[in-house]
Amino acid sequence: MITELNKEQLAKIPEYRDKWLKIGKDTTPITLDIARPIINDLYVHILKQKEPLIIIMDNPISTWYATFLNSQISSQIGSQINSQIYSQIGSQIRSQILSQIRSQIDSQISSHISSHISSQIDSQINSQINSQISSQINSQIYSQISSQINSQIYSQIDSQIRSQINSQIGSQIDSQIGSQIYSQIYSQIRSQIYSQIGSQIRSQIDSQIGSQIYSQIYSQIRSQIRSQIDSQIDLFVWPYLDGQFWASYFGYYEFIFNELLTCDNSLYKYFLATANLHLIYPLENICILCQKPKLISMSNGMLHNEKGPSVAYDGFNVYSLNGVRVPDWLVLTRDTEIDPLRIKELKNAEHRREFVRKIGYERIYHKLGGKTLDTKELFISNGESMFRHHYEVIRLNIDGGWTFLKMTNPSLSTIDNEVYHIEGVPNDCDTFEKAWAFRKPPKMRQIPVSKQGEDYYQQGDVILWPKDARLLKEYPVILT
Amino acid sequence: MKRRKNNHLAEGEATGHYHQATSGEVFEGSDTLLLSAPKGTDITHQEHKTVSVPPGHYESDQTLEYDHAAEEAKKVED
Repeated sequence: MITELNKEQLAKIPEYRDKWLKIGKDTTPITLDIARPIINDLYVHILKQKEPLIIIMDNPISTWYATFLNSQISSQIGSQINSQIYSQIGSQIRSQILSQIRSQIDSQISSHISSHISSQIDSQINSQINSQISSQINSQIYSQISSQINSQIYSQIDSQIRSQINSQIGSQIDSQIGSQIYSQIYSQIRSQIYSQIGSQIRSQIDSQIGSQIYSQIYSQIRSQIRSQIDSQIDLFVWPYLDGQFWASYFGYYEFIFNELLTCDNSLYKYFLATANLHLIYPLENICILCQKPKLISMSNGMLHNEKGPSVAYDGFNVYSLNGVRVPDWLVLTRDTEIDPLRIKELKNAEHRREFVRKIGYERIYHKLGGKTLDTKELFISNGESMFRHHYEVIRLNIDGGWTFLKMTNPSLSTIDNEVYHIEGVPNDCDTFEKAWAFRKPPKMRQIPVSKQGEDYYQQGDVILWPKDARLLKEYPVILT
Repeated sequence: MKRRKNNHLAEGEATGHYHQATSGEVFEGSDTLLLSAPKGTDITHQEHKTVSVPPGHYESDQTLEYDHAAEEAKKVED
């Protein structure tokens, strides 16, 4: 039973972490020569299927479309989507949707998909599959791009309808891919590994390795890169095999197998090999792969690029500043050329933070005729030391006057560089106290405040207060 | 009440970040989240410093902001 890590083992942890971070961010293009043996092993040894046909698509969207085409469920899903959209969306919006669909089909999707599939199928797979795919393109094109419909009109369709559509597509793909992958990979590989690790490594050591390797890679690779790609493609069903994006998982196990114990991981090695690939949709008889990004740009563990996309594929980009996925114009437009009035377009607090960060608070305040209505300084612990929080209630000359509470971000600000948030408050909140009271969650607002009140805590926009508290302190005891 | 197995108190749409209780259990109440942490817990986030809360049962919700264009209060979107 391993009960502690020795110095040598501890010293090697950063090696594994750095190695797998590098793999997770790797942009070396995938070729069929690289992919074929990996996918063949996956199918034969784990999925217990014959070697599939393999195609590689350029980006997550074209990969998803190709997956959709091949899933052979598109006509069924299409009719469900259509019936819901047509019955629940007004004629005006419907006409907007259709005009956008047509332009999307003609300009981007139809030509994009058909050219990629046909060129790759011609050289890669036989005529039977070629005709199967080709014949479905024309007849089912509308349903294939249902996901694109939704992303195009994201703001125009009620979220409830979106979730209905999403769940229907997701559940059907789930039934074809998910159950199979989950049951086979998780039951075969994970249980095999877990049982051996569990019996030989004390849980304390296990969690130590987890926190130092797994969670640190996870925070960059999965929560940063993967989630931002995922969130950009509405209706997109993420595959169950993430390839390199499972770097955290692989790094964790590799350390255990190499440094701590020997393990019968005969199946795992086939799974491990998928770290050389990107997104993988393992359908029956055909495996559709997504090419790796051409570029992944990070700074301080956050997706960040001030001059272009932070994740770039052929035909699909993600733009990010300091870990926040932002509209492309906020990256691509020079700071001096951005109209400060565009702040009114930004509904997301993090988008506004990066907007202010890029073009400067003083410029926004000056250009929009800012007036300061009230100020307040509070000294509140950030969990380590007392932090000076500076608040200003300001009114900007937008559409007759919009009031905001400007505040310092205690986690990102440094002595040399303060980072601000600007959050809207009603125009009758002309003092700090009124603005502060407005920001409280409705249920919490009902609880009286007193110096003798119970402690409460705040992290960003999340507040925690004791259940059934009758009195609360005026301000949180910790604010980060 | 439905338990949130991932113990997330909130998730950021634009960042993929999340506020997470590292121990205890998070449940979805009717209008707030409930955190049961009999041994106390850390609340972690990719960007914010960790907040350690002492043992107890807590309610949790997000701060509000005012959307001037829509003329309505809403939970802060991040």
